[in-house]
Amino acid sequence: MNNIEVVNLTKKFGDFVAINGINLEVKKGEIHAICGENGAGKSTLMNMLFGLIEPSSGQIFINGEEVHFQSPKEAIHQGIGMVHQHFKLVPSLTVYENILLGEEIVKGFKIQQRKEYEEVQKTIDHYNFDLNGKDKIQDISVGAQQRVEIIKMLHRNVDILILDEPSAVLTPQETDELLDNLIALRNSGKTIIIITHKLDEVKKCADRITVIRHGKFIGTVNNKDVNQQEIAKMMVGRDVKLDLQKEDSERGNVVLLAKNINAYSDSGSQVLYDVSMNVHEGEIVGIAGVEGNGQSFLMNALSGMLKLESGEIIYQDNSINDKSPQALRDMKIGLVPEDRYLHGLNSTMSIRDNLIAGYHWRKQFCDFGVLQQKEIAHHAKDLIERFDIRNCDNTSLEVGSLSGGNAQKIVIAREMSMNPNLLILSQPTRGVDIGSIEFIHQQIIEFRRKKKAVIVISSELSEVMTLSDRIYVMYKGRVIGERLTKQTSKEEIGVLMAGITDGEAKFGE
Amino acid sequence: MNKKQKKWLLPIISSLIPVMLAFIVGSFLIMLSGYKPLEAYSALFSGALSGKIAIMNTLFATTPLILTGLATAIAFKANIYNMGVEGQLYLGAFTAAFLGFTLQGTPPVIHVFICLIGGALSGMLFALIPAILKAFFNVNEMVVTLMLNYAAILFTTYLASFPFKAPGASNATTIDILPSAELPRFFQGSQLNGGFIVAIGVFIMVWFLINKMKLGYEMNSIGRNIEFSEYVGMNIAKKIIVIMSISGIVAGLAGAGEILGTHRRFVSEFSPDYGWTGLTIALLGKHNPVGVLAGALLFGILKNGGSSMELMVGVPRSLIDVIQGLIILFLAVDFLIHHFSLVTKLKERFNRKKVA
Amino acid sequence: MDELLIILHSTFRMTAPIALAAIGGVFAHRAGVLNVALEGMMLVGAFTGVMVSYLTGSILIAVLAAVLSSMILGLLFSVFGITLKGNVIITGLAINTIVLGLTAYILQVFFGQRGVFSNPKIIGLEPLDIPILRDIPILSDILNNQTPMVYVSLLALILAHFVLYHTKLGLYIRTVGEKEEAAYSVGLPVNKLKYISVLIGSFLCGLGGVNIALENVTMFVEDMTVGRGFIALAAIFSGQGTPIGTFIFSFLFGFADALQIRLQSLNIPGAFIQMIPFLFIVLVLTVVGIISVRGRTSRGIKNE
Repeated sequence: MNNIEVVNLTKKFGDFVAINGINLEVKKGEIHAICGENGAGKSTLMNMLFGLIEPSSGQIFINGEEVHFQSPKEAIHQGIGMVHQHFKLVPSLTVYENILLGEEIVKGFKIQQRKEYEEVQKTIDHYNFDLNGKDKIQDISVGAQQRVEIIKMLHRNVDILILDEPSAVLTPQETDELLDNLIALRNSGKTIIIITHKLDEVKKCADRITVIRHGKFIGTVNNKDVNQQEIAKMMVGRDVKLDLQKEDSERGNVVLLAKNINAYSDSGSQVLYDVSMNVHEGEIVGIAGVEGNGQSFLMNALSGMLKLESGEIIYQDNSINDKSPQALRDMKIGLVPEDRYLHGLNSTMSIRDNLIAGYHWRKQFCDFGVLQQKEIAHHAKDLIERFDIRNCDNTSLEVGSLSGGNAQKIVIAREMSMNPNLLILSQPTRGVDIGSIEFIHQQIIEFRRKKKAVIVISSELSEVMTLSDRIYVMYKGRVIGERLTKQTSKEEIGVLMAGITDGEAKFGE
Repeated sequence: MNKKQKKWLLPIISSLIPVMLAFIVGSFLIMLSGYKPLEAYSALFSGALSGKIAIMNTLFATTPLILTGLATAIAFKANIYNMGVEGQLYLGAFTAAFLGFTLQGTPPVIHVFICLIGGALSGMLFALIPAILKAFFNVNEMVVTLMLNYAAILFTTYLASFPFKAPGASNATTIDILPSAELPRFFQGSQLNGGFIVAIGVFIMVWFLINKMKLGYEMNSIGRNIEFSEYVGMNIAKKIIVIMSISGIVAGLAGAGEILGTHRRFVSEFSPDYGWTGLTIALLGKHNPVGVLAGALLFGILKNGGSSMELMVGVPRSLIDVIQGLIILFLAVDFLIHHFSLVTKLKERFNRKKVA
Repeated sequence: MDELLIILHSTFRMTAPIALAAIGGVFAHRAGVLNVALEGMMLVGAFTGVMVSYLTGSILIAVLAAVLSSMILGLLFSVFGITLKGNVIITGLAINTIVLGLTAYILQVFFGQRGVFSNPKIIGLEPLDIPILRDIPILSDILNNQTPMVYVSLLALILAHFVLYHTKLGLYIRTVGEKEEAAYSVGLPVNKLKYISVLIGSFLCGLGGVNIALENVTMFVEDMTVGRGFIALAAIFSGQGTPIGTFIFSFLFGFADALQIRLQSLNIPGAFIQMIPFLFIVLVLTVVGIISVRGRTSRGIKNE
């Protein structure tokens, strides 16, 4: 019997069709994976199932009955729960307060906090989850927060659990634990929908797989009938080269050297512990690690956004501690930040203006404080061509109107155009379509070919493995391992990412 | 062609709608109080616009508003909430008056310049307090500037009622400035004076700054995304200080101009909320200098016409405050108008034309 | 000693309107709505209180009408700022301007007065002499014989604390302000909660406004709230949005006010001393700023 049936569902945002006539059938008691590229419409589809977005047309049936959810509350009432990619938890409240949010136990007007805690702890223990009801959300790990979200839904007696990119923030070990939990939940009769683009996880846990592309239904297949390559092909619509060719490269002098850097966050907790690393000319160095293990802080420290407590960063024999991002750009360091729409681009500013940001005061663009519009327009045109940036015939359009891939190409084009000696990229292909990923990877390798140095920080292990010559692995603010890519494996790096080391040997000093 | 049309037309329409709505609501109020709206409004507009003298008086009323509007717009453009234009104006005004009555024997034109510069600088210095607090300690500039407004008004009142009080004056005013420090009036019968030229000059400079200069680009960038701007290497702390300084200079000039051109001495609490009106105008003009100029003119008309409306028809001029408030209120939901109603439809029509 | 008791007595008196507006404003603040219209809400309360007291001769009806008028403004603010998603700061400023103009306009058109309205027919709020309190030494000197709104402000403090931290409503309001998506995801009525928060604020602002106009002076003067709404806002900011912190800062401002009145009688220029509370707020914010910046390690200022 079908637990969920979706017929010809369509969602339009203005002129943009996000979901175009999708059909979906989810059976009771199965794990059903929804796969697709970034921007394919997976989340939009699930948000409609959960009552967060109203469909433009089409029908949704739950247990054979047509439903029109106006709010998540109605969806939950019908037994559908969702765990979002970005958790919907209140940081200053406790685990039990978050789990019971909206269903508090009161006596008169007063909330019965003790009784609430006891009840929630009972549920936690029943499902055998590792959680303490009295902890505050702001004090627990991301993995634990995700467990809170799952319990929050289970406590509301949902039968159908939707998880949106659940492993994005987890270590490989935590991911395995999660998948085990999901399988256990399925075996106890729950239906689970998991949205993801990570095919190895799909292979591990799903019973059936539905692929969507550009908002369209491509097909539903049994997991045991397909391999990863075939799913990838369905997602992208053509054959995908999952690996990249790059020739060996002779590495030159040290370009950047970080020595025992320690740093604290604004809230006063230490985020980097004795981090040492280096990168040479003609070398791509990868920083692997599960998200949230200090890579963002390392990026900020390297780009002048985070003050060091101790240690030193040396670039071409000069200390660059406490140098501003502008000074770093002057010294020919290109920076591609992690958060594209916060630090990389000014989304409501024009394409043209974004392409000069950070370099706008250079003589080329600015004479006696007056901007040279002609030169700026010319520059924009040139880069759009060189970097194959699509849909920007009119360079006065807002950058925010571009797709993730094209927007990221703008950042990369801007930073590469000033011909830096060192390029530091953080999550260079997050939320980017496969075509653009290939292009960006080629550009990075091309850059190395010119004997330049590159640092790539990425939580996509496969990205680090394909691009880098050498890999540092970060765990809890420390560099816990260094490997030459040629002499290691995905498995070995994965183990390091989980913080497991034994007898470290050092390379590349 | 259409693209250009659209670019110009949309902001104009979306600014005009709130104005019209405000007048409509205002007309109900006029009716409720037993007057005829059409009569009142026509008295208002003819009082402001019919005849050379009326027009000059409107321009006279517009003068300080151009400056306070620009002062606010400069800061708002960079998303810095300088709500302290009123206070900066007061300090600029007092400094100009002080220089005006103390520097005896200064040649006329030079004296005026000294007073203007003095006023501008004190406006700037006063704006530096919230700027420094914001830049280095991230103190909410909106609260600080609001509080400093009250402090500035009280401080200048103190100065004009104790140390610098004109002998024998019944209220808190200083002595008159020297004739050499006066901004000359243009024509008999109107108070329109050299301050207007100053305002127009400042307008041109601000327009150039915002539209053509590097700093204008940076203001725009900071206003839209301050974290991005820092990341690509604009030194935000420094920029906040520069931008607030310019805003303070313009505000100080507004005060100095009023003293040198209109009052010719410092009168405590002389400003009928020029700063607040400037804030409204900056919002109305969407932080765009040309929009500010148009908005200032509209409010100059309202102000100048308001008194003839009261005189001719009897509708109290406090109605103008109500209408101003309503304009701001309807402006606040500009978003709505932009996305769901008339303007959207117009936009769609333009888009369709573009495709066709 | 006597001097101190007199100043403390007058501090509570001066604190009451600020504290009422500020504690009321705490709810909107916690719900993530910046309510700049506290000033206008107080002013309309003062105006309506005076007018209705004059027209009916009943202080009770006057207070009710004042609260009602203030809540109508709260509703207007909510419709524009919450339902229509207008910029709340601009909406708040607009309401302040409208109230300023409208009170002057009505005063002139319907009462024939410009700027000031005072009349013996206006009934004021009488100080309360409370039986048990009057017999407690010291405490009676400070707290007895105060206008009713002083006691209401203390009651409001206790209630606000209870509601915010021990009831569903308070929990939901805090959730909406801290993480709106969390509230949406479990189906809390986000907009309704924001409305309620704003309306609680305007209810208390109405009481605060009435107090300004009808205790002691019993008249209406144009713009007679002279920035108390903004001071209340500053108290909320400085008190980090907790009822107790907010009350403490309101009390500090009340104290500065009381001190200023006291010093005025010592022939120190009034305007000079009136600056104290405003400069004090700047000082407090600066100190808070310096402290919070001290541990910062990252460059720049965050987007709002």
